[in-house]
Amino acid sequence: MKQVKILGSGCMKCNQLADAVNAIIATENIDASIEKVTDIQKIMAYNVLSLPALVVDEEVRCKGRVPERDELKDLLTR
Amino acid sequence: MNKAKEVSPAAALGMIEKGGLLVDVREPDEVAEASFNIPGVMLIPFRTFESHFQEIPDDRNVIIGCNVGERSLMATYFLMNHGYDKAVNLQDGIVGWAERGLPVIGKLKHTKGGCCCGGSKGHGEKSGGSCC
Repeated sequence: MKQVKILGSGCMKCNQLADAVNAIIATENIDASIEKVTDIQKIMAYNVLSLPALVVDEEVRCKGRVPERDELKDLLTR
Repeated sequence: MNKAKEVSPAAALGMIEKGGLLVDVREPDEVAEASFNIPGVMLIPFRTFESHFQEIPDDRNVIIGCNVGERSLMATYFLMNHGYDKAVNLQDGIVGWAERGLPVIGKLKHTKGGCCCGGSKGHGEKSGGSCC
């Protein structure tokens, strides 16, 4: 099972990324757990200043933007 | 990772008077509106912090400030991750600084946080999400 984390303190972009990730995981039947990380200390353990950020299996795969669907699908499945 | 050290505005001023460096990570539009009225403040906007943090000396006490202390807390952790063991966060940012009667030039129009994504737009309307 993939471990997916959305890093962000809850602004519009953070929520957009979370919604997009949830939608792709559901439609593509990806076996994944999703966690929203909002605590700054926990976010900064990934050393990311540009939010929101997408972490898959503890690897930061995207930061500071909400990718288009195709790219996001690739980031979640590769 | 260790929890970042945070200091009150009064404690920050004491550190500055003893040679500490205040780094303001607010965006230029915020700084134009109101700024810390003390000499030698270093300005590194949060949006460019990742590419300019090396300009901050690592051998001085460094106090990181923003509007209310959220972006500066992230910047403080970022510096800690890069070996800055003398970096601390200014609690409550320039808003708390001004509320305690410490010197400010200009007038603060926004008394909430900046955007978690790094910008100043929306000034902290996190849950409603207009900052981005």
